[in-house]
Amino acid sequence: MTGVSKGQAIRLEGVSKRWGETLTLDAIDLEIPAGSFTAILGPSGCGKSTTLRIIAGLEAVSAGRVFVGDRDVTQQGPGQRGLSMVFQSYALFPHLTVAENIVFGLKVARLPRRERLKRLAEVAELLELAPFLNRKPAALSGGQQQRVALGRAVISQRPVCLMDEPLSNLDARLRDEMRREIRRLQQALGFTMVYVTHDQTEAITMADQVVLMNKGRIEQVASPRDLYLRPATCFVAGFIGTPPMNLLNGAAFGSRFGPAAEGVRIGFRPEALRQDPMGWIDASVIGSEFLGSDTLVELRCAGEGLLAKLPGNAGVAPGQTLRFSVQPQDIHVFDLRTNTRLEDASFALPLTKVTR
Amino acid sequence: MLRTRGWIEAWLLLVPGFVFLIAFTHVPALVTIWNSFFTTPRGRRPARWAGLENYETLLSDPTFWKVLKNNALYAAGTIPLSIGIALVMALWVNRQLAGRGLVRMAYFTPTVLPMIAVANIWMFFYTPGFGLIDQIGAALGLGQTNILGSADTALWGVMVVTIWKEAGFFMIFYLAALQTIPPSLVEAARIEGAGGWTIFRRITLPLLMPTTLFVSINAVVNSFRMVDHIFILTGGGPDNASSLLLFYIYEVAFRFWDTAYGATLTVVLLAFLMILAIGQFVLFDRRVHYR
Ligand SMILES: Nc1ncnc2c1ncn2[C@@H]1O[C@H](COP(=O)(O)OP(=O)(O)O)[C@@H](O)[C@H]1O
Ligand SMILES: [Mg+2]
Repeated sequence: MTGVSKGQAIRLEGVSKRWGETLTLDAIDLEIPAGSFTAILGPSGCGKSTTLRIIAGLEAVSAGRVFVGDRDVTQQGPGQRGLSMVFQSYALFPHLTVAENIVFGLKVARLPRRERLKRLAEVAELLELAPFLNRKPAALSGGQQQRVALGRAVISQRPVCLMDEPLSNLDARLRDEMRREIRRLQQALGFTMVYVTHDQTEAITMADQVVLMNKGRIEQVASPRDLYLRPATCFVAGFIGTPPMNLLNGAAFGSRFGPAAEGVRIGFRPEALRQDPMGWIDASVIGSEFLGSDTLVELRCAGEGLLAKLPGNAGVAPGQTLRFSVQPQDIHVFDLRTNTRLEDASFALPLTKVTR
Repeated sequence: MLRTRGWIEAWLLLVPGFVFLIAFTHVPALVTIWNSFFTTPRGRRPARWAGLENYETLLSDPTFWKVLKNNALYAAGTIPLSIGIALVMALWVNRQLAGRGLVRMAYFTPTVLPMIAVANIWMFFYTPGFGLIDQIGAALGLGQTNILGSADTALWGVMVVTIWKEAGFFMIFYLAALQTIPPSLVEAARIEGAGGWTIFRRITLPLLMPTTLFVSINAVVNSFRMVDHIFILTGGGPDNASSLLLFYIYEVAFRFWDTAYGATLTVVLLAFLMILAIGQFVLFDRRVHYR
């Protein structure tokens, strides 16, 4: 597959979607750069699929506009937007063979038979589908069906490809394999990918840009690295990372913060905790879990739960009291009232000193 | 040993069903075939072996040929139309429209009515002079009609009633089948740029094929079996113009009491039904996609 179409940018402007009384998408603004791999991530029910289906044109917007390239496609049907889509259920046509499934769109577009066969051969080679071309989808394994769905999506060489949780029906090993394969395909063909997932591992390993959604709003749009290192909101901090960031009430540290601690959450990742006899975090061990390369320790500190990831087999016993410190650059502070990240580092400073 | 016991148990469980099936279906069918080779017993004259005499009578019976032709016309007219209308109604009712439940019920009503009641309703439409058709016709300044009373139109009048009755029934099957088609298939086709007609022709219709096979076998069987309304509407007349094979069998066997000839006609009917059913399976087999 050479000489492939370039990806096109996608832009959502103030897109809202309501079903009756419920507001599923609340005035979303989003820029997806041409040729990028963008993952839409979020918990179940946050509106990821709805966003994708609005981009696809399968769902009409209640308000706002959708652009593909520089065209306003808000009023256009899905067939006119120049995009392809892979469904969670694959949506292969059960009565057609693999080959017929893959070339379905080309046939609809009345492409000459020779061109169809040429492209089919290329796609079959690219996705190793050649042995199955004459089978019906029911005679394929889940992974093979997935490849057919990919084949149908890429054969039209459209500038945008949408995927809605395409790997969720596969077992863990196959999922890893397909993850790499999809990424490879996207880089080789250069289309713009919008990839919906609830699995942060998928989003973080595959995407150039992650859109993290919650309750019909966008919490943060950032590279996977920035999402991890500089979460923009409390929700992002608590969503990204396994296990996610510890988020403690500012007031839990009482006097250390003074009046500024009101309405503030202090966050640090479990892996940022260092055992330190001079540390300012005083916690008692509730339990521990040996993970192989490190140990996850469940702690209680100032009445709140806390997780720490300690290197190796830390050998801690329940009831034991430990002291930890956290480097200032590893401390995140979130303002609960404005739902934003506070960049003012002076805020975190008192925490790093032992004031006894 | 264990296997033998399993077999015996299985057969024992099947026996009650078999007894009834054999007593009331298979034995009468065989007796009918057997009877068709004898003469009709009359008074003190018992039935005697007739060989193929009855079949010879049949071949030279103009009424038989007439009702056969009627039945062919009846089948050719009612089957495609009732299936086609059923499909259109199902597609229509399957959409998201206000009052969908009501429309569905309205379409389904003819199915729950007994055929006799249906025929009575249509008598109210067809009656010359007073019927709905003539009243509307009169309002438009048209002359009086006698659809059921004239040899040219009686069969058509009967066919319309059949279509009206059957379409709603078949619609229910199509509706059930349509609802098993995952919406994502249609969405995938739309993304690929397919329009409504292409989606119908390349996706919906092929996926409905098993239903179409089922419905059309039913329709064929019904076209030989549903004659109740003829009793009310036309009584087979005028001059057998609206008589069908089964109606003729009824007349021969139970009005003229020529039971042997009735049996002969029945054998022919059974043979037709079997050939048609098998033929349909063969015809559809390659095109039906079973999921
Ligand atoms: N067709 C629909 N009618 C009514 N509500 C819907 C419809 N589709 C989705 N929703 C609601 O919109 C919300 C977001 O759904 P969705 O976008 O599918 O979430 P997810 O992020 O899990 O993909 C859910 O609360 C869901 O109940
Ligand atoms: Mg979803």
